[in-house]
Amino acid sequence: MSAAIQINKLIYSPNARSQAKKGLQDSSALLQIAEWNVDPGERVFLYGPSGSGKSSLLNLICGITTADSGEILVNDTNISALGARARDKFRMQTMGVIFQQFNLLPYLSVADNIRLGHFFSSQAHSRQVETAIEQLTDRLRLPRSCLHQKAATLSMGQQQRVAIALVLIKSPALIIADEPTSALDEDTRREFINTLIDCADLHNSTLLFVSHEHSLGMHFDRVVALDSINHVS
Amino acid sequence: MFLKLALHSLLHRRLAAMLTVASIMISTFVVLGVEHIRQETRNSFSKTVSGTDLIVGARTSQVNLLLYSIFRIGNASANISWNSYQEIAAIPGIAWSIPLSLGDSHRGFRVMGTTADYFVHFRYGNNQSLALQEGRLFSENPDEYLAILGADAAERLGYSTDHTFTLSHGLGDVSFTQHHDHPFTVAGILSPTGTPVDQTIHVSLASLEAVHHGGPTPESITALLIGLESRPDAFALQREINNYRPEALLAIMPGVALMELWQMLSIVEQVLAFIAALVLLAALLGMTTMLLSTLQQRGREIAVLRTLGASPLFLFALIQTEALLMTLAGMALGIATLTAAIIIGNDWISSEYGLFVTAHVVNGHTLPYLISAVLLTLILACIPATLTYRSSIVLRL
Repeated sequence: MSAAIQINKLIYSPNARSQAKKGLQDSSALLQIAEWNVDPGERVFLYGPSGSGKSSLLNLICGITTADSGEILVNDTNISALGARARDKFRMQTMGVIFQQFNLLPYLSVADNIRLGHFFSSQAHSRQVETAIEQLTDRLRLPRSCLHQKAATLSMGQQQRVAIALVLIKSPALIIADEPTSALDEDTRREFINTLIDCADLHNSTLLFVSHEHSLGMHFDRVVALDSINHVS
Repeated sequence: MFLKLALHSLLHRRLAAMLTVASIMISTFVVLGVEHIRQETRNSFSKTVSGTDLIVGARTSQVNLLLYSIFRIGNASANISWNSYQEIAAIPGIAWSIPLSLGDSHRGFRVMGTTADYFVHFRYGNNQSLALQEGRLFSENPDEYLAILGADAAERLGYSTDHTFTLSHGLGDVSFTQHHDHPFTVAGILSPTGTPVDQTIHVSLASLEAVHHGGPTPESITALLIGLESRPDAFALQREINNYRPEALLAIMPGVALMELWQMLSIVEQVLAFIAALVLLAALLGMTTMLLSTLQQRGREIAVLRTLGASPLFLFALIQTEALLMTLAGMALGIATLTAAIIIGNDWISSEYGLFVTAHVVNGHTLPYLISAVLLTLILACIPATLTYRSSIVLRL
């Protein structure tokens, strides 16, 4: 079985391009990963201190940024080799990303935010979207009355669950969560992670969860320290 | 979903969006107002007189004679003696001549002394003759003080047939000299014409003269309208009248005088149109600036959309749609405001300037301005739209 994520000989320097434009050489690589894989359906917890390159690695896997060298294969597609538009399309079709600040549009209702996640997906013409939204909100224990409220009026815990719904509505093969629990108290954090894992199980999605808090690793199949795979000299 | 997103995004920044819409509304009001009133003035002027070959008055400029004799704007600098009128009227080739005597008024409406021939020969618009909507015409009997009211004058004064009123000397709304001893009775009311005739109170020349000098025969008149048996003779007759020795007279052809008037006004029209276009451009640049300045605030929103899968084309179209929505809203409000202003101010414009402006502000003349505004919006909005899809996701999330 091929890997959900496969990284080979990756080198990434955040300032390489700006330095190159000035005719300079940048030797300060942030990430240097010889090889790293995530299996399909696996729940992986990646941790590391702030500034260690966790978010940069996620941006590279999502195709938001590109590496200086090496390759990143997601579901057998070399995302590094794709053009910007193709990467956008691939990300939309394959991945769901939850960010620290949930990234909801504050002026849209909860239902419209979730619909937006579906709108851009390849299943945009599905007629069952309204039913799917209701099922998701029930599963995420969001009151139905929330659906018509503006996203900005919800509590932090509710906004997080909407952020999960926004990702799950398109049933992505890969869910990437970038420190989504950093602003939450312990109870809400545990509840959020359990809900996320349950939903990933239900959709048979691969889950890559990134945090600087090592203690959260107990909820996942595999815990990986970024330092153990990143061999920056 | 796309339109909903654009609309909610604008509503989220409603204060900036409303101010932008207000500036576009004002500029639309100015641009359409200038163009519409310009066209309506031309239409109104060109349909005011028809079938009259020459207008004769005391020597002045062509435009001045046209304005005071036909459009009731301004005053004659001198009169034509009755003898001269009779000599000119007797020139062979003249089919009809109508004397006009202006100078009195009633509650702001001009009073014009003329003969019954006026209602027979005077034409307006597309060679249409005057018609009575009620009552009868006056006779030439100087003892009968009868008046025929224009439609607007009758309506606004609230007079119907058999109503009596007195004339005032002079043209102001308020006069210290009233002809109380000779009250006039409304004999008839004309059908609406959309010309200054609607604002005029017509009385017989004989009765007007009786009011002023006690006799039926006037000493002088203000102007006369001439219809010829053969129109090509107009040039020769015009030359003849302009060289008339006993009195300094001027004969004009209405169409030629109107052309001169348009030429005089064309520079003013062009300057007004240029200023109006600048006002519109300034409003649209303001909208572009607003969109550019809010790009900084909505960086996260754009990044969220891109993360969800919005293509660069989608974001480009989103910004263009927002700009278009603001422009269309501003234009719709501008059109509505201008229409309301014309409907409310129409009476005042017609009474003050003799202009009849229709409220149909969207027409073949103004449509190019609206289309240009939309195209300009799409061109100017390319700047923020292009910058939007180029903005980096990484820095915003």
